[in-house]
Amino acid sequence: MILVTKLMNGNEAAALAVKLCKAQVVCAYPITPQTSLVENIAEMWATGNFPGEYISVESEYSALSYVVGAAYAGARTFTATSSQGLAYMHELLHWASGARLPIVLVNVNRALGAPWSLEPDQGDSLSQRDTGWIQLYCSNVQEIMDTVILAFRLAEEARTPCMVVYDGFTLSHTYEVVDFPNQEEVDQFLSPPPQEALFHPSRPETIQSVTDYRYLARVVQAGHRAMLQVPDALKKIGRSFSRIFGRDYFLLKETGLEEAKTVFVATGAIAQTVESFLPLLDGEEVFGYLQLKLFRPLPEKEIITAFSRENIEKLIIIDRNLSRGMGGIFAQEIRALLQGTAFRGKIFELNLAGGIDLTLELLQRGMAKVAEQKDGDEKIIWGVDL
Amino acid sequence: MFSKDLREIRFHGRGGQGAVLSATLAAEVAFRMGYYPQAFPFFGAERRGAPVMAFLRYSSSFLMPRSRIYNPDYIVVFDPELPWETFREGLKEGGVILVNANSDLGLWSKELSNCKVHSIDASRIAAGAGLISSGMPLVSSVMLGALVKILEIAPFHILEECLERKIPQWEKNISVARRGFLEVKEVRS
Repeated sequence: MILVTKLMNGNEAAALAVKLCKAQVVCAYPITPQTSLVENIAEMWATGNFPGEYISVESEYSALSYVVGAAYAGARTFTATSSQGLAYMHELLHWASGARLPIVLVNVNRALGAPWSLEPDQGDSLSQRDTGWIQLYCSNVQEIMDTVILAFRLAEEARTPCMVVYDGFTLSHTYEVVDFPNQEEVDQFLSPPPQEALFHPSRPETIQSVTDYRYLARVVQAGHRAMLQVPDALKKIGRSFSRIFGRDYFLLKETGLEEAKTVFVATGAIAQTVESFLPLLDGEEVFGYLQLKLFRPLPEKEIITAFSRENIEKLIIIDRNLSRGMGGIFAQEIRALLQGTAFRGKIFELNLAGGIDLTLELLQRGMAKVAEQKDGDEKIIWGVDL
Repeated sequence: MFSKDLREIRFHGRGGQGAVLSATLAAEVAFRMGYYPQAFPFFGAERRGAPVMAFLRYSSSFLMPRSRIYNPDYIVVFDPELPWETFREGLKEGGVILVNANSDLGLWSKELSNCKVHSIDASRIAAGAGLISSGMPLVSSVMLGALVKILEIAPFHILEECLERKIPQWEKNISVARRGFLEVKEVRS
């Protein structure tokens, strides 16, 4: 294993990963903060350094449409977007999962308007929770590089499209140290494209045309069952990744749960921020943290096991997103999951919707609010009020 | 605590002056010296002339927060015309300001009296070397040379190698960076 270590930002890392995975068709439309990702791919393509085709179109809707077509033909495909762009793809996200096309899409989190904003609110990707895509969240640039590579194999093995998500600017534009793999290693990990084509000019046919509930219900159920196999598939793929690249990825990452009374739950860049704060918080109380990497499908067994430890009294779930009228989306999912399990603690929600930056001071003020929260108080502890 | 050698630096400039590039190049220098750096711009659409910020933190440990920098150890000011209150905020006690100015701080000297100030006349040095774009002196390499010096992070040749690899007009930039490195000095206000 020859290790090449470089400084690069999240978008550059994603672009390089797409190249190393030999994506055959990339079609995208630029939007801040995703722009430099597709610029990087376009530049590699224009200078003859990209193995696949790069196609420019006039919108995100067309970008995903093009990629859907190419995926039907068996091509290894990639697209990327943010915010409004992902929302504009919505209809085709459903089509891609319904047709079981193993497309990989990077979404760089950015708040949806109105008003216009560039803040890294997670509402764009979480609005697409129910589109049938696998969702993986990243917490640093190395993880972005590695997760894109994992995503191609996972999507193809599960025949389910996969969204790789990371925070706009905080990760997309941050330069940091990345060990990047060489082509031989990636080739060892990922079988060469293309996959078998669903269409071929030699056997013209119509597929996925109008159907009734009997067939549709089977399609929906099959998609669900394929999703339920993703956690175990990802564990297996993660072990293979670890053997080749020497880095471990799991469905979730946990620290200190054996002893902790209070456990923070976070995703994306915030997860690393919380992890870095843990040693500063440890006084008399011991804190733990859990980073959720795989969000769809939610790794139910693993989360329930993690929180069934008797020592855990409080969960503080940090959401940089909001389902208006309900609360943080990760918090609602975990609340629902822990119903009727051995978890006996209380759940608190620290909400950073709008893209609030998590500092140590803000976290400490949030913890003070948690300590004084009584039954009947508002469920959400708002970062904006702290 | 965080690793004791964690350093946090905030850059203030105007779009087009190279504050973001400087943060990235300083990160390269830190990386070459064995640190884990993080360099990132302030969120926003980039516009020439508008006030911009960039951030750099580095430490011997990878595990650092990913928030923006509110309490920097160092503040680097690319444009002496920026109002002082836009950049002074949050400087740590005992923190250092590096400013693009000649040694006479004029109106600023009172406002900056309780912190360490280092200055380098980067606009003059850059303009003198012909590093000008759209009428604006390209001060980033001078500032970078001065910053590497006051951080005491690396010998000059490390910065020289980074500039040579990353900057198109590297010869001119190395020569002004060297002047920044050699000529930056603490200002007694």
